Amino acid sequence: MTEIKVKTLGTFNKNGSSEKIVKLGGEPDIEEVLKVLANEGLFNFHSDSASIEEVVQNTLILINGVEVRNLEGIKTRIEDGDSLTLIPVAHGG
Amino acid sequence: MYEKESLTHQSKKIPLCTKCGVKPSVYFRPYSGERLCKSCFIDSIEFRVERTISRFDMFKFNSRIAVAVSGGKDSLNLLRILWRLEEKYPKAELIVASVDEGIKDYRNEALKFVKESCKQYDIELQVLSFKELYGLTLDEIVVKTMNKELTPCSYCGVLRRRALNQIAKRIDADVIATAHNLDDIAQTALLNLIRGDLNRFSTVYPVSTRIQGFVRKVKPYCEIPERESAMLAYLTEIKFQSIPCPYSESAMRNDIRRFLNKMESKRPGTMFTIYKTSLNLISAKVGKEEEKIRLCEICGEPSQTKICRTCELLKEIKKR
Repeated sequence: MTEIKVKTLGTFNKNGSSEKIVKLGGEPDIEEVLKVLANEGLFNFHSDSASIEEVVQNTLILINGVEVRNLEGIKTRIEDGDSLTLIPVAHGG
Repeated sequence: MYEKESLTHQSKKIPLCTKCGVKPSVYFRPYSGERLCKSCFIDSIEFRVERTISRFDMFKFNSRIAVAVSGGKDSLNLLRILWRLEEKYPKAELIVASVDEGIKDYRNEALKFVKESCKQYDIELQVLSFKELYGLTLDEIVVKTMNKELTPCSYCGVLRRRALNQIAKRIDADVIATAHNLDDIAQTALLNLIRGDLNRFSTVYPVSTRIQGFVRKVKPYCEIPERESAMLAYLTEIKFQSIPCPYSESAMRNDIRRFLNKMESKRPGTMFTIYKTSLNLISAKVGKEEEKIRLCEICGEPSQTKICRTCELLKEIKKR
């Protein structure tokens, strides 16, 4: 079981909550984590119909403070204890 | 793939900064191939803003600058950068200009961030509300103009520009600095092309033409991609607005934003290309034609037409 901390900033915050502990099986990559988060409606993404590709294009995704494009993009493997931060690129104003 | 890597958290291999070659990088720029550490990233943004100011001759050593700050990440980032640059120019002065459109919750949170930043940097803040200037909040205008052809953003944009100009005139500023970023510029260029509005195309230029009655507007942040603006805010711990503008989804701009973000993701550098092409197109026109300006017959402000756009919209709103 992989336990990660997911932090959201800006308009992704739902009901004032900005940090959650998420538990996933195996060693998932970021894409899998995003799908879980989207499916469970844990955070406000840009729109309910947005594809993962669209979410990625409009979101700054950091793993342990490093932008994922600087690693292996959304195929970057998440490990136990990692911290994932999601920031909307446009705040919607 | 990487010549130099550093191991930080657990087993993830993080390439070293391509600029300093010492620290682990935190950000990758696909359009330039740079991988930057936190301090080199922040420095690179500040350098780019300073270069834009210099290239377009935006300020003088003693300018009185009204910085338009909405409370969003872009304007708070710009304010922080200008505040740091101001140290080099002791005779220059910054004053923050904020417009309160009257959008419940959304604007209240943003103005709270503006006030906190002004206090932190010890900068004067001037706020002007739609209610004070036009007698109506944007929320009230939206109710009055429901089911009309124009979107709330169309009203808000025109009325906000007038309000900013009013603040700048009241505080005797020489120039208004706005935080339009690279994405805003590329979106506006494309938007005006799609609408076939060539007159407005020139508004993407980083400095406005000098027109009596209008305080000159400059865009020192215009070469900063919005994604990098978000990263800068994260790294410098600037607060992010948690409440989205309730009217933003009605804008055609959002469709263009989504399209451009897709293009930028697949073809890095697309937004810079649109920006540079726009400058080339506008440069061919700037200075060759003098804008014909008269005074609006209703409010007396400068206008290209008999009745200015602000008065046209206000007349329409009040009719309802």
